[in-house]
Amino acid sequence: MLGGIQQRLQTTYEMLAAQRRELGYPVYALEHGLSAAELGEIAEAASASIRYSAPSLSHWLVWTALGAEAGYRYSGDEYWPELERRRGEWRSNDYRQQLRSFYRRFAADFSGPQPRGRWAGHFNIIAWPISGAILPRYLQVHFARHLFDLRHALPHAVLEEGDGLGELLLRRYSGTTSRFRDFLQQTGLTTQIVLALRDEATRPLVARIEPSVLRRIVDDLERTREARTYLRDARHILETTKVKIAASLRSKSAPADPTGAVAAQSQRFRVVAKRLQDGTFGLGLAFPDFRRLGVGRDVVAGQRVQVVGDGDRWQPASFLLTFSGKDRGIDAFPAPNAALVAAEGDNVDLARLLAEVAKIEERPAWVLRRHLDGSYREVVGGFVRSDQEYLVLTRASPPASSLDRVGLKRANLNASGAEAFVLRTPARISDQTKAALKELRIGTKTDVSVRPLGIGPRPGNLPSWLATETVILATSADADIKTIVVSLDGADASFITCQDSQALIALEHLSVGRHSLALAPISATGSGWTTPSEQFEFDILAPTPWAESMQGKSGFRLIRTPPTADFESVVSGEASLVAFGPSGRQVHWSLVGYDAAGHPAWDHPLGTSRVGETGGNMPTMLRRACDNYSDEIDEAFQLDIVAKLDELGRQADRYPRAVEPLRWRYEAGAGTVRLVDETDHAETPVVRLYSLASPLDRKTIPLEQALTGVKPDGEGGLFSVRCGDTIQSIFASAPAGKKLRDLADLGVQQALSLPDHKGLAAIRLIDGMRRWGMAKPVGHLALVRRDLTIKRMRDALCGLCCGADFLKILASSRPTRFEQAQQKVGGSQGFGSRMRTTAWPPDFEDAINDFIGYAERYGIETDRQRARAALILAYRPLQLRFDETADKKAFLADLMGRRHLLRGAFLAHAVSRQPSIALKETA
Amino acid sequence: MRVIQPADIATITAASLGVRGGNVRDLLKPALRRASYLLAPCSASDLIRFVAEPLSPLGDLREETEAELQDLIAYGDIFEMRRIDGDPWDTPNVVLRPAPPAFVMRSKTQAFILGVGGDYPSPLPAELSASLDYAGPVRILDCPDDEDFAGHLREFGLTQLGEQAWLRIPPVTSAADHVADWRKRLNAAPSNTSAVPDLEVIDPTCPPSFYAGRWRAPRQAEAGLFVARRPQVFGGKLWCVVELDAGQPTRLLDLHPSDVFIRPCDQAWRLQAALDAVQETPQQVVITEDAASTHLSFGGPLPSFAERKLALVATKSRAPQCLFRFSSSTGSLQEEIAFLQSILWMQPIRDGGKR
Repeated sequence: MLGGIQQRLQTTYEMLAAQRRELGYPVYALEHGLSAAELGEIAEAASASIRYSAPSLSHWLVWTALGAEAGYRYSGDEYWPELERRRGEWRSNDYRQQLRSFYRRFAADFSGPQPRGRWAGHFNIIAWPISGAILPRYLQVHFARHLFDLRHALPHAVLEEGDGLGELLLRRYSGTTSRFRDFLQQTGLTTQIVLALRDEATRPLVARIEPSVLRRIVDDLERTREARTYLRDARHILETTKVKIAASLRSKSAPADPTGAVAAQSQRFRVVAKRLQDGTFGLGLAFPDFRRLGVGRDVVAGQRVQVVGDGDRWQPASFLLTFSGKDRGIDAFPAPNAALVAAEGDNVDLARLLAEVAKIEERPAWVLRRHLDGSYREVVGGFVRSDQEYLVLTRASPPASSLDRVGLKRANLNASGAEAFVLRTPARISDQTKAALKELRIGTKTDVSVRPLGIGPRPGNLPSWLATETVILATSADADIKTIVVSLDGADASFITCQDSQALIALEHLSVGRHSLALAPISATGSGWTTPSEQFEFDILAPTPWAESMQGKSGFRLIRTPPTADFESVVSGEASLVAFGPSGRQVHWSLVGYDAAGHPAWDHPLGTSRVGETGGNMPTMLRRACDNYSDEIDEAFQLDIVAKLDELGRQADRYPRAVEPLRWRYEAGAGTVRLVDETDHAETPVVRLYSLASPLDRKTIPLEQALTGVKPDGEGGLFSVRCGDTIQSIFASAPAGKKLRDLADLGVQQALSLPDHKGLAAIRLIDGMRRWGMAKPVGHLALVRRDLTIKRMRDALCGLCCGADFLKILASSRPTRFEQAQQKVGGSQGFGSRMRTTAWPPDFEDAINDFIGYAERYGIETDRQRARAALILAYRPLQLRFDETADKKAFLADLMGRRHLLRGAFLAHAVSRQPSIALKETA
Repeated sequence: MRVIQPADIATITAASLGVRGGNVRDLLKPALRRASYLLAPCSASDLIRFVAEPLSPLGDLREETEAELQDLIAYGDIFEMRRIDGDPWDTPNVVLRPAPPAFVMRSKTQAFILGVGGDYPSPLPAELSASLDYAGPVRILDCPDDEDFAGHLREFGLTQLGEQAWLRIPPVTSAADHVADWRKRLNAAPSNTSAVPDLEVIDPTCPPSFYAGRWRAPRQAEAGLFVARRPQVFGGKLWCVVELDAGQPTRLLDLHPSDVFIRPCDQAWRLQAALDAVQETPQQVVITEDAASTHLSFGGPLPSFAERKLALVATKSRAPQCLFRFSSSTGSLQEEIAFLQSILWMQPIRDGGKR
């Protein structure tokens, strides 16, 4: 049977490949042409065929078709069960590399898709059949939503050659579903899908995707109302806008900044002003777009800058990116030729760039034009036009006679170092006024001017509209003219007849990007088109989905500090999550978990807090949730901490979890732990178990057992798998076997077996702490038990370094424990006293210099490296590094012998934790 | 590129704003929503100018724009609030911000659509946007065939607001207690010794049925508690409560937007309703019934919570001999009349003068 199917598939795929070859369209394994009933029978026969031997090369197309079908059904969690007819059939066999070779051959023979990006690298087997599935079901809603979000950008993107469309879809994805992001990296595939959707109604002679297969995908997609609406809207825009663009005069590509004015505007600091509520004018600086100047994260990393108005304060250079293209208030007008931003650090290029752009051009007067949004922005070149409002800044007050002749009215400036004057220019600027302005070194520009009508452009250095908006411009002149010559983006000029020296122009269906409108008047007395006297530059933007663009606009937002902190850090309180909004309002918090397909799977309320509460009870709320819903939290593919504030809406702080090809799954019902292995088996994964009763002792577990599921012995165990450089570990905690008698130990009896060699023993404890600290806690009391285990190792390390008697004193709750510990430090009374009485900071880096200094001064330790290592052992043992030490065992053994030094270090750390009991926390 | 005439501006702008037709007045709310998204946080004057100036070839629309903005604030499309931590340097103390897309169910198949869709005129997909009714002060979406209407709106990302959360109805109290409460707050304000230029007060002796005619300057011999407005250097007039003695303000309390979005004018109008009721000249709601509908007509503005409450069951429109009216074809509005009596101490008058 399989032989016949193989032949049929060969014919089908060959035919498709022949049809598409000239057009360069790929063939997909999902286009097999088999019915659902046939597929069932074939899968059964194929399954039987691999019971005792590997998939046969003579049935390779059968397997590519079956693999693609499994990829289409795939839910985003585990691929292999979808391919299996018998449980465990593919999970535990060793045929996956062969399956990949079938797909590679398919790609070579029929121009099949080849997976790309992170996905192809990480999931280098299953990426192949899933790519062959075109658009797996679980990604269909995401895909429809993404097309909908970008619907107005698509018609322009389809005009691009190559995979431009797919690249747009990837570039503009701001969501956090890692599987979907991986999928979008297949830009060739996504381009073909969108184009196939666009072409479906026109029934092209050669289809990009077999019509029956495309219909199957669309039908599946339209099963939910949400996705159906999204897809239909996106397709409608895609189909109708294509016709409009084809029918209208399509603009040529814009010349790259023909006048240089745009570059000048965006590439240096400019002065801005705003009239404040009390009638005075506030001054600010508009930062250039540093990204356009080539400043990226890599350039600013590790650099610091000092910004004018900030005094002596230095701040991370990433500040430049934060304020890129934005305005910032200043209290004083910058001194002549003053550096607005100074850089500290070793980046010569950054320093050179700042020296060039971070200054304002020194001139007799700065002219700021009022924009539609109420802001006044510096005019490059310092000139004025007719019928506009300006703010003129000078360092010294001009003569009163000049003020009168020009019509400058003094204004109150809310900043020192400059004088300010308001100027309203008339519809026609007289020669006398021009002359008076010239005395003040202010130029005048007459001729044609351009004014937006209908809807105002977006505020910024350059006016901008959306691709969905029609740009209406009024052109006028301050002389009598009967015709204006206009050219858009260098296209042939149009002659427009004016009425009262004015003309109105509508610009529709412009492509996304920069555009330039060149204008020149032809006066009433008659003259020809010479060179443009005015160049109006503007941007056309693609609309942004509202869920993205409205973030924080209502005045309610969440801020995570530091921004890169993970969920666990927020739970532990090391990182903070604070709601900003109207102070005192009540915020309702909840925790939302997502499934593998990126859909919300559950939503648990966390509690409430008030806006502006500092510190807050967020860690407490999260910790409670972690206790109550630990299994669900562990299983979630993404977690959102969601804040709701009535009419101010909902803000979500997202914590995506990247799915790894090798990962553990905890099956709460059975209490078992199972290994999901989607690696290519280039290396055999090694599985180890560390029981809770004996957390430093390892036991090897057979891979097959881990793949089918293992139950930890006793009250739990840590499972660790290693494959190449990848290590994944999980701590599964089982319900207590007996009634808890002592809350302190949670009924856990543990033995820490250590070698006699003290250096080795310390290394073993540190490795153990690291291993247990990395393990994901799941199951009953898992987090508490894991932390307890680490604490015991930490105590054991303290005992090893300082002796059991010293540990006993530090761990006691007696109010005199520090005094007692001081007596035990030894070596020097002064050293012990310093260790107890110094206000040791909680951060290691802040404590190290003082500690080394005291150790030297009191003759305890003159070797700085050793003193440093002692304090690291006490503060942050996991950060102990041995890069400069040849023999770490010997180094540690030697260090263990320096008891005064170590006791001092552990006492210093205990004091830094005051008033809590020392040693409570791990590294 | 094409040459257009001034008359084309409205139609072209309407298309950009997702509005059907080319009526200039219909453009203002969508344009204000767009502007609030682009400029936020911003002052009302900047927002009005941003909308009205590019439409100037169609006439001076500043007053109409301001009136439409007040509707958007009253119903919750745009928030009027105080500046918050982290706002830009040039943010004034009182700012406008766009509300995030949300909805309030009016019935099982009808909802108010609130908020601003960022770059898009509506946060809804085209199919639903096409069904939006823009006629009244707030957008209404009617989907009679959708059995899980609220669920679908939530799927599209809109936040569902509970009726009570949206209405923000203040607690019921007697008019005398309400006035006493304000008197207490005013007494806690520092005494005022300087003149307040261009102060204007609501005349308690003028009939409440003609709101615009009640505003005037304080009279020399006048004393007592008044709802007032006073000009400021920039921006609209400030609402305040003032105590006059011999026509001179002895205490003055400026009203500012609160963080729970109670507008100063809402506070002032409710206080005036209480003052009128205490003086035994309560504000009136005129009830008329015809074959098809029940109408409630008002001579003065209503606080936003009252407007919202009425909008849930009735439709607002302009009508002769009143400032506006709410009409319902489905009920007698008994509950709403009782609400106006209890919360604004209003007197219902049947058309023809019957109480």
